[in-house]
Amino acid sequence: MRRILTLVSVVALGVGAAACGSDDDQDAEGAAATNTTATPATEPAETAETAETTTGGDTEPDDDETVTVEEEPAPTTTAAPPAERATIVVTTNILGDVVSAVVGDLADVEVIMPLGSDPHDFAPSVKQAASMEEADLLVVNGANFEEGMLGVIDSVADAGTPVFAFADAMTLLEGGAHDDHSDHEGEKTEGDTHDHDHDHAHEDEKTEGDTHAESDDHDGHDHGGLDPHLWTDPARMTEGVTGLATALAAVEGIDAAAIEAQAAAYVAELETLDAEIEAALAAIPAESRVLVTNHEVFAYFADRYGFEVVGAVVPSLTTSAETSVRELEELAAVIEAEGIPAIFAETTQSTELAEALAGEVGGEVAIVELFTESLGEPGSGAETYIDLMRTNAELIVAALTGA
Amino acid sequence: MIDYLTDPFTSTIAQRALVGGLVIATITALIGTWVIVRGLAFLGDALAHGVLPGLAIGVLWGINLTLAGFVSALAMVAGVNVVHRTTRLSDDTGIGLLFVGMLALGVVIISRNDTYAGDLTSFLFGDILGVTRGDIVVGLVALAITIVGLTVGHRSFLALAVNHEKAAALGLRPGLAHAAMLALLAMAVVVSFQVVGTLLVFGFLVAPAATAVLVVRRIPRTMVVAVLFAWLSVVLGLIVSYHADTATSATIAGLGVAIFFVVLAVVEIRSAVTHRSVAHAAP
Repeated sequence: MRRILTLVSVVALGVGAAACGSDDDQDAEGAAATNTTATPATEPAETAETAETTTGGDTEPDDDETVTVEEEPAPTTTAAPPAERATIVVTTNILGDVVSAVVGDLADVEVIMPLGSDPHDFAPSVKQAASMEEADLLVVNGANFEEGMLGVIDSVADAGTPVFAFADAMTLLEGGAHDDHSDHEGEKTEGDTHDHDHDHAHEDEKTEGDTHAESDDHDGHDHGGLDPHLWTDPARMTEGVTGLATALAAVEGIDAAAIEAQAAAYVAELETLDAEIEAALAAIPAESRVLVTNHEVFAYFADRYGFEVVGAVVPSLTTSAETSVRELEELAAVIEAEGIPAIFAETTQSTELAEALAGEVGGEVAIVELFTESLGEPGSGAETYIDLMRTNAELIVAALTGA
Repeated sequence: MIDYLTDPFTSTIAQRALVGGLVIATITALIGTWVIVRGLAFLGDALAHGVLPGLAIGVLWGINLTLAGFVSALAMVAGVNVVHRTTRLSDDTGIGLLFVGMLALGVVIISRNDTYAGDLTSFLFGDILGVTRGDIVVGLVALAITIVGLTVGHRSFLALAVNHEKAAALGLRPGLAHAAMLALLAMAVVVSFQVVGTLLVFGFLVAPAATAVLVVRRIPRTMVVAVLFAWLSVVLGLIVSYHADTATSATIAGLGVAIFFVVLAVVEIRSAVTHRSVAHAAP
């Protein structure tokens, strides 16, 4: 039933987006405005403008917008007249922002998933599938993240369009940490205040070669185990950005040297962001570094910054899974026993289950929505990937320190 | 205007979706005609969900999905038969039990496979844009089997639809014919699910045939008209979903039903008009 509702809402969203296509233009401007303050670097200021979110059915206002946007920077940058601008299509809007930042004005970037959509089950329209196929490079998250478009991505690769998957360029974690649900309980009842130099249970890291190519046969889904939420660790994202730069440099019509330089600049930004987040999180004492998330979305973040994900409302790597009463009750017991002050919900999902869980817990538990799998609306503080990470870190600090 | 109609089909993906959709629509419209004529709609709907546990197990164990789904569907038919033969309950009770049982079993199995539930979405709603060349080949083979099966079994199926006892008396082996028809139906469902999903395949089975029944009477003609209506909803569906950016399989299935009501309205208005003119002429 939930799936039907999701579908209906996706359809409704599509219609809604079509009805208010002109809002997209404001979105882009708003994002660009905040982006200038966020990025002190040279080029990427106008990147958010080129990141045109293909939501609306009406192409005309969107097209006008992209045309004006393209022409604006041209005189100032005095670049060589671009013969045939390459088009890079990106599936998720978070990676879309990353790609836009790296690409700058060297190519057009088109993002498939609109703001607020659930990337786990977003299904593209025919038109979007066509633009994915016609792209000079399709950039995907990979590791089966885009569950609703696996078939389309396969088809695009089949048709000969080059596909870059962030998952293929990065060291991934094995998922499925929720199996130790009961272990946690045992651990806690023994009364050990968890020390945070605990060996992260994810030592079984996969190396690049192990990640299956996106063009894998549809039938053999024996590779479900890798955690696809790779963007939640900005330090690790530098691997992905470096890989992306190589893929972009191979695209015809893109200046390879310029891409390398811009990618290097963005990597530097990510490193700054990483340091910033680390500094912000320092306010959280070691024993409070526990996360209860909506689904298993923060493993990389936890791995990077020494957090422990004690549980997820939906104990799965995907939002399309279901939980059971026993699992919810166990999680409630853990939250109560540890005095965890907040459950981290997500902007792309209903908070219903999280609220039910909070109700199950005796004490006061706040429900804090994080920007997990989609950028936020203009003014949300999560208009770009970097802002999103920063905002999430702030929200986590506030929730866990009771500030 | 022409661009408006041809634009959606410029990409390879859309072309494959079109071909795959047309093949599937042909199979389902053909067998769907018998589903309508024999009043097997509920069983057809149930069968569409009966494949789910098979698909789930197929994914878990890495078995060929088409085969796993087919076996699962046959198991469901066997279950319905058991209930039918051993109890005094009516057929639809048995179908209902198996329908929910199989659907629940499928979801339960998938939910245990906790790292990757994405397949559930594509099982339920299909992924017409992900149609591969292999899917099309499988579809064409299934189409050939369907056409041969329906041609060879036509007399038996017809007798079955008219009168079970009479069919037996004529030596047309109604039991075998019924089993053959269900096997064809199961095959249609299994080859279609990847394209339209188990929730929507029922629309493909029923809507075109039901629409055809509104305008023609004889069964072979109904099949031809049903196939045409099915093609119409596939082509229109792809065009609409391209321009309106809507979910493709659902748009096609929904259009199939919409076409039914449009045709129904036209037929009703026409008959009302003729009736009135007859009434006017009478006195």
